[in-house]
Amino acid sequence: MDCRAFREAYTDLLDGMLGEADEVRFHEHVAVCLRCRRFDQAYRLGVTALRELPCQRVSRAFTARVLHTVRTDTGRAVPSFASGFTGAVLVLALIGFLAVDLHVLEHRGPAAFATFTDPALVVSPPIPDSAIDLITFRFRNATYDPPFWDPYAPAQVRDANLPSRVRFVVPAVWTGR
Amino acid sequence: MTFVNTTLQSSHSTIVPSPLRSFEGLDDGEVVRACLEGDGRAFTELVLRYQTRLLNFIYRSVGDRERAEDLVQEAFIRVHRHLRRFDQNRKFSTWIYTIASNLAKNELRNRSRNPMVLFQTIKKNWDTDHQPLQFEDVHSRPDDLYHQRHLRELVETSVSLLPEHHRAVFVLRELEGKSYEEIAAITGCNLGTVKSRLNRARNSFAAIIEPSLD
Repeated sequence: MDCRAFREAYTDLLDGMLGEADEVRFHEHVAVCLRCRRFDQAYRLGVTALRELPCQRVSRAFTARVLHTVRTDTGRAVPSFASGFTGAVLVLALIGFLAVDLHVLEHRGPAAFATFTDPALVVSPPIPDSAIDLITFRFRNATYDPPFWDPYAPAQVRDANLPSRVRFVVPAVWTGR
Repeated sequence: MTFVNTTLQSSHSTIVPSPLRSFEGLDDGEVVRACLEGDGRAFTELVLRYQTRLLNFIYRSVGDRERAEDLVQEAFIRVHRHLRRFDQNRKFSTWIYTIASNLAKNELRNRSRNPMVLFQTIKKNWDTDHQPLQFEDVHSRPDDLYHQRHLRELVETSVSLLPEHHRAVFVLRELEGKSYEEIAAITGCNLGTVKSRLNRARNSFAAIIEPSLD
């Protein structure tokens, strides 16, 4: 064993992770190498002195202060970025919340490519004591273009008589109520 | 919009802890369970068990005793706030040491941005008025006493001179007696990194102490 190997395996020696044969080689090296012997002595002396250092004690009023602080803590932790972001998203959703009631199952397809015919916006009668209104967007889904991933697919024509609707929940102020 | 409140408010407002219950002999897991069931004294028991250990750990990490006490208090506040989220299959000591370790890291990070704070901290620590009172061995020779005092000061300095991430691992292993797995969990490193940092810390520590052997 050379000095470099000694230093690299020193932690394993201290933690009892060396095999018997390696441990013997370790001690043989320490016996003949002054430098590594001094290293080992310095470490053991230093750690012993470190462990004998006076233990820090908490101040007299510390425990009472901690318990008082804990008991008066309201738990209002400063929101982390993630919880703050989530909160902001939910607040925005409440302000401009749109509930989509899709009755387009029979017309399932990429709505972005739909061509609406006979569109009509219908505002439902106001809901008493409510801060929201329902707006229904009625249309007839006549055709839709081929999807972008298959531009050669033929455009399909849906049954023009089959109605579809999308319902939105909006704040009442949006409808002027 | 309201945040979920996870504090143990009920334990302090409605439950009267039993004055006869003793937590002596109970392991941390059982004390934590008692705390979650609303026994106010259980949290006191946790504070008493860990306040000194955490103080020494954080003090060795940040080098400022007063600040270390503040950070220990902060650690207990966080434990109290998040105790309901604590996974009781894990060791409580690993969890609380993780909190303490993160607080110490944040403190050191904040200090590195303000050199004046660091200078004042070092200067204050070496003020003799702040040194703990030590009773010297009257049977030792004067030069032995000098050597011991010098070695104590050297050992304190050498730990503070270790790089932050080496120091944490070194203190947890040599002073707190934590296993490699616990150290890995506390510091958020894998076992290989823990071993590598510990080896370097030990080498550095020995290199600082070695000249004092003469």
